[in-house]
Amino acid sequence: MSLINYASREINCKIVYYGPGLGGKTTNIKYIYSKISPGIRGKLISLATELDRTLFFDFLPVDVGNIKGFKTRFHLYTVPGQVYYNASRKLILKGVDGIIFVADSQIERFDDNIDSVENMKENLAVIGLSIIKLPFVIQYNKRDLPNISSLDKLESILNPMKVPYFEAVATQGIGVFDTLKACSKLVIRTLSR
Amino acid sequence: MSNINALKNQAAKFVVKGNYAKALGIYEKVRELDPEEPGTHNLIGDVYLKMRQKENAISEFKAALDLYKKVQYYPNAIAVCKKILRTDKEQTEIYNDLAGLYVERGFIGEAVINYLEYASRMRKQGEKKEEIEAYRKVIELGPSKIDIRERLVDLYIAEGENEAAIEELERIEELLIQQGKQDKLPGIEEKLAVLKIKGSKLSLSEKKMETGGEKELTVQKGFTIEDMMVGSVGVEEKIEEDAIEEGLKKMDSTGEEVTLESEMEKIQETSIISEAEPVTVENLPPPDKSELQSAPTQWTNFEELAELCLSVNSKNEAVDYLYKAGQIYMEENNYARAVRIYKRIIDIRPIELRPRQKLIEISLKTEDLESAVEWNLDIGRCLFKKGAFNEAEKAFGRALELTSGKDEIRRRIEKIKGKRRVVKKEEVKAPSISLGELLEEEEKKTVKFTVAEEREVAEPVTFEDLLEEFKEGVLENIEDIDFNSHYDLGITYKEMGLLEEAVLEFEKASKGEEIKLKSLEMLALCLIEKGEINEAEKIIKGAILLKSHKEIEFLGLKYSLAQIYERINRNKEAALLFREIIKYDPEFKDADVKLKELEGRISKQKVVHEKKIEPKKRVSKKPSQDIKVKKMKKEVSKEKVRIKRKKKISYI
Repeated sequence: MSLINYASREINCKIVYYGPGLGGKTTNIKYIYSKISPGIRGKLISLATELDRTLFFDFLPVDVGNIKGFKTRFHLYTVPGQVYYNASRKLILKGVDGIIFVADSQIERFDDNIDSVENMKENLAVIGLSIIKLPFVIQYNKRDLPNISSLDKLESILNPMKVPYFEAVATQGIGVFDTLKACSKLVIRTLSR
Repeated sequence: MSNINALKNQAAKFVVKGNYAKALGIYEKVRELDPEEPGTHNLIGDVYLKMRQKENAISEFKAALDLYKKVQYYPNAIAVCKKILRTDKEQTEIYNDLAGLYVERGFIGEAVINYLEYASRMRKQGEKKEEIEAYRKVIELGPSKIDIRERLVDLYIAEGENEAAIEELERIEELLIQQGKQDKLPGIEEKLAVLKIKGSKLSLSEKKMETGGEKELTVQKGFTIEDMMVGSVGVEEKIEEDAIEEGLKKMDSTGEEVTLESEMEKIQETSIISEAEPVTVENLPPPDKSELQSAPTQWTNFEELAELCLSVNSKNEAVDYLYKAGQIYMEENNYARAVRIYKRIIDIRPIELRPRQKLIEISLKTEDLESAVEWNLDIGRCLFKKGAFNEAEKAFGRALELTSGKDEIRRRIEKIKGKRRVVKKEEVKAPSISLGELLEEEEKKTVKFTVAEEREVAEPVTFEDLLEEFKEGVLENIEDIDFNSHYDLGITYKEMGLLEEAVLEFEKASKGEEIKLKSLEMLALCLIEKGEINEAEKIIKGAILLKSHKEIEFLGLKYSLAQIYERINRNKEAALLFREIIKYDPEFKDADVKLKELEGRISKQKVVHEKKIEPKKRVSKKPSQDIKVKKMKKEVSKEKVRIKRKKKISYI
């Protein structure tokens, strides 16, 4: 649920990058940070453990212009992918306005993707939300690797709702902005209603 | 004692319930019973923090700090120091305390950083003597630090302590020679000469006064005073000019302002830390552990530092340095030395996974398959010991994939598994990809992947730990004056329902003039959500008085205040605020609906209020008669209706 500040006439929308560990969520957000003008973005808060895993969450605020006279900001978050950080994932999902699921295309991560989708649905249910009602986009990342599942297979299992999806190589920025734009549009559409 | 514990438990329960006043009262009783217990002061400080009484909190923390120091309980003392600085970074003397405590604990790197911070702050406050003292302590910890000695020289000169300055310069000369930095000698010698001239001039004037005549005096190295004067007058003037203009307090020998940041930059420049790695206390290499003759000339010699730490039994520090050294060798593709380093780590920590992962990586990179197999088996054993059986299976699987002598490896694996009798034989998967693919994959995954798994199997943390770690990280990476980032963080915490954290962030953000109002609005919302109505009311009332804002900017705050009033049944005030809001924006949220509801409630209250005043009238008979009359009239009118209906029917 968007958070509104009336003093500054500002709407803060929350987009969460969800997905299995090491799937490229942080890479997405870091690429966005590196490419957008400093004037329209805040500080990237991305803390990693000594083992270089996301510590709690990554966070990047981005200004996207005015909607109905309100300055609109997207807060981009990533969740920690590791299985045992579920409490953190639940918290981060609170108040979510849109979700980008970053799937790891590698064959050996196929099951991890499914687990992560299921985990996402469960966590949304706990906070009274459903993926059916939320702006939701899927990104199939790491498409440059040799050992990847076919797009058809990924689509058939991970995208039964046929939401917009994008192939990506986040390390090179391929598909990163397309994914974000698609999710942003859906969020803005919901917001404008 | 049991009474004290019972009281503490009781107080802790009140803290959990958010009843801080009661908790405080009980903790104060505990403190009276045992005033020498540092933990109680610490707990009281925590409660004050929750009540946002920072000064009181700091005072209690300081009391706890003194007591911990008194009983030489240094780890807790350090923790309290950090807490004080988290609460208020301007508690300058704490940096000095913290540095001293780190020295006691043998954490020299941290000690130096805190002394430097203290010195930097003392300089800003114009406390030169304190600044000098801090630098002296740094030099005691790292005698080979020439840049610090040079700074001391400048300070001595500024303070007129020329003898001390000369002594330092002479020591610098010795160090430069020892370190083979002869190219820097001329500058130091020139400075030294100028200082000696000053001393000589003084002696000369004294002699003149004594003898009344002029004599040719010589100084060291065979120069005449005249020679020296001609050659160095410019330098001398420059020094004096600097002394006047800058007071020699802001500049170091290179002319740059000396700050902790500039110090860190210098350290980073001279170290081998990669650019991508942020400069933090953790990755700053400390100076020498003690006055070792063979001490490394720079702070980058991690291997030597590690051995130094081991010599004083600081294993954790030593391992940290070894990892840094290993990483550097890896980056330089110096695998032989990297292997030596990681094996050394295994000697210190026999079942640590990370060095083994590194060794596998090196084996694969150097195509030393035999070692890769051995290290995979080894890591499998460690994982078994740690109870991470599935991960162990994976490691064994990798070993199988890497070798053609599968039977032998399989036998060895079965032997290990047999000891544990946990994992089933058939779970070991046959290799599905070629060695080439595996190597390629390993390359792509990088060290980060392999290392990351260690934590997954070995040390999962609780959410509280994670949050604390995150907050620490934020504290290190976001400055207090970065108000926008604190505001953004406040929003993130609020959205997650971490209201305590959100409040602290919005408080920090509200110190930024440009975003004060919006921060206060969010702060008030958090406080309302937390149920701290009085505090929220105070914040909003203060915010509404802020100048240079348009009325429309206060609508959110007024709405929140109206909600507060509504909640505590101050309906008229709430209605008044809703009216004000609607006046500026008739469609503001549900202000119109709220106003209608409130007006309805107010009018009902009026009726009730009037009825409450009426009882005396009820005593008189007239009203009751009136009621009877009314009833009768009703009955009559009903009768009339019935008659009319009958008439109508009859007409039909």
